Amino acid sequence: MKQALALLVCVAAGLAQAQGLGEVALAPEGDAPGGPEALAYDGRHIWVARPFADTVVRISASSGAHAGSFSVERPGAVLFALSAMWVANTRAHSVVKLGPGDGKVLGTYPVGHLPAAMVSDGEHLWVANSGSNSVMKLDRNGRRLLTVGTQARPLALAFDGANVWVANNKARSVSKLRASDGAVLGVFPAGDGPSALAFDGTDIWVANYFSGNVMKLRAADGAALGTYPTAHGAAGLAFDGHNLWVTSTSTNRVLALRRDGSVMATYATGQRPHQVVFDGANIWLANAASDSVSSTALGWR
Amino acid sequence: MPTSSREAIRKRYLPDIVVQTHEGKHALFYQDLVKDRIVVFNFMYLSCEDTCPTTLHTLMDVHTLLRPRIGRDLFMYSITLDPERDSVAALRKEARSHGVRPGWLFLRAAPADTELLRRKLGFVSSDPKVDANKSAHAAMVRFGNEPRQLWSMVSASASPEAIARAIRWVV
Repeated sequence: MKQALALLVCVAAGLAQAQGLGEVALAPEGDAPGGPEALAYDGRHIWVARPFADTVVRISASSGAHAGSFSVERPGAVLFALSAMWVANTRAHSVVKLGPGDGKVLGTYPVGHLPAAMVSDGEHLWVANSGSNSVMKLDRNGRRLLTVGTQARPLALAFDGANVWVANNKARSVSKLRASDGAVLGVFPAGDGPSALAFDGTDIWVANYFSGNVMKLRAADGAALGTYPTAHGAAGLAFDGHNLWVTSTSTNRVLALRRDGSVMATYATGQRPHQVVFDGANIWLANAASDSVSSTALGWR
Repeated sequence: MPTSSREAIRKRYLPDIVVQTHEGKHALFYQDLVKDRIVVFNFMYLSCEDTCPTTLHTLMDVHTLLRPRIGRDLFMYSITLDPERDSVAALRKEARSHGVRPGWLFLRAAPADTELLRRKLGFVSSDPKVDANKSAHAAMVRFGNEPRQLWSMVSASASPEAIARAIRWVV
């Protein structure tokens, strides 16, 4: 209790004096908002899905400069894996494989209803179908190898080296699937609205959107190791090798948590920050309401 | 309960601001980089054309002279005074071009935190004109043994041998 109170004080202090991260707009002023929530890093560029503009925008990870825009219907998730950029098309219920150099469509593969998240186990692509309560395992050519039923509304995925973890957003749970054969190894309680997952090498972290907190689960057995308050709207989560970065859509902030759950830093972002990714040096996050990305690579404001 | 002198020094001079290393890590200045260590600080910025390159070359030699301890209990930190322009990628490139080895980190922090750190670490001149000149701050080196509470400063224009000798006094 004492620890939770101390954390709340830290969070409150951070909210009061947070320095703003540099921000870059994804479209010219006056354009219809693109509502970006998802982004990915390909080694050189950050790719940002703008679902309401039916595009994926590519920007330089070193300068934030625009480096291309590619048409994909209602892109809901993006992932760089298996030497390609994969985009989940939530209107056509498919995943689209793009060439990372030129953004050329290399293939389109049907998946379940409303694909909302993707992760790779190094050899395969896993897709969470939030509308049909399943995850699918595809090979690099888009062939479907497995379909596994999940609890309600799988919205986020993470890979721990051997297993795929699924955040069941509506069911308030997290599932652990063995990557080799999709066997369900366990289902563990989460908070209200688990929306993002991250693996730190030992533990699985869960961002609970409506509970406004993150949970730490031991990856080995799913045991709950701690719950740490952040802020309402915990929508995105990333591990940078040392710290966990959690976005808050309600406070327009991103928090850096240490692995003991204490708040290390709080930065102001654009409006309604969702997913966050780490590029090896900087964090990047997609601001859904301001149609922009914020990053530690872009200085401060 | 009375505060220990070590705690008093920490509170007054060693803030726990968040810094970003040239390796892309985010760290707390005191907790992660200073606590329980012997540390050497200097300020610099990549567009600085006079003092900084000379200081960095001197510190390269200091690094060589102290090499057995560097990265074990002795750590060197070069902090940019121009974090808006000196990105992690630019700092990493600079570190590589100087052959910076483990135990020596180039750091950047938010501008307000950078200014706080500069003042807390005493890279300040009482002459406002001198204080406004960034390159003047690059001409000094602060070093100390945090657990033993031994702190000192030396001019970066001293020879590498003299600087290394001064640092050895606090080890």
